[in-house]
Amino acid sequence: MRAIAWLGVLICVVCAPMSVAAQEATEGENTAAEIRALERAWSEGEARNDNRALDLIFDNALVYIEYGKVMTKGEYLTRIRTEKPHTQQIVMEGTTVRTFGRAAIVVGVYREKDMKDGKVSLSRWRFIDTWVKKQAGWTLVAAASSPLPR
Amino acid sequence: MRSLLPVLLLLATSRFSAQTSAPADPERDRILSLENAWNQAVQLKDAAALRMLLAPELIYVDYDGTLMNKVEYLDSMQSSWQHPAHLVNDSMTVHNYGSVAVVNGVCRESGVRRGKPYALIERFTDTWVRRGDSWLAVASQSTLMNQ
Repeated sequence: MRAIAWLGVLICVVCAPMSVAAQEATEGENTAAEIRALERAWSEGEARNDNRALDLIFDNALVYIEYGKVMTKGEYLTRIRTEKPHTQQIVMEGTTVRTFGRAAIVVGVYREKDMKDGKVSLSRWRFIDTWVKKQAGWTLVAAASSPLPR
Repeated sequence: MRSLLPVLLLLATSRFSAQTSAPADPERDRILSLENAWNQAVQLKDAAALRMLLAPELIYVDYDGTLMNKVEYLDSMQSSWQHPAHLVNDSMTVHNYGSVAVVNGVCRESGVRRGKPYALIERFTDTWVRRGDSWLAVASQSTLMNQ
């Protein structure tokens, strides 16, 4: 009887950390899925010039870096609003999401096809997006990309 | 070689407050000090100091788009062909979200690479995460400004 009790204790001691680890892994997967969905919503919102959708995704203190220049949320939204739709095509090549408690980092590569003055330009970028979990949910606080060789 | 390790130990574990004229925000000052310590560690090729500043899961994207993890970044900093002599940050802004902080700024770097002098101006974005009493860099991305 005593041996069975000890066996029960042993199982609890061994299994408890495993269950915590499993729970953390599931939470990480759920967060990654949520962040990926938000990244898609961002791309779709930008393609539709849908400032209202983007306003909900971006933090008010968003810092967006493009071609080495800093843009605030207001400047970025103005640019999207005034941009002609479908002049720019963005294709994601793959992303990785890493979570650090209330922060999530997305790293990935995208291809950009831009049409300007009748000319098509192609470019590839490696980006890092930083998301922070606030009371209302995940919000994009920083985004920056570096050019890659085509 | 002079090591930054004692300074970093102090910065990473204490409520360090740099002397600035801005309203007191010890965490902001501490993160800015860690950014400057990072530059000094790169300049001195101080691997021990860099190990303390960077999270094991570091994601580093260099100005040319190269993706590195912590080990790869540390290896690149130790390379014999690269000698950064001068690294100075300016225009830094810190957005503190409690246990997460994002720093944007401009880094002016010059030195000798493969025997030739170089000078870069980069716009960087670093993400720091609080772990216990320490702040660790989990992500860093930079883009050239002087192209």
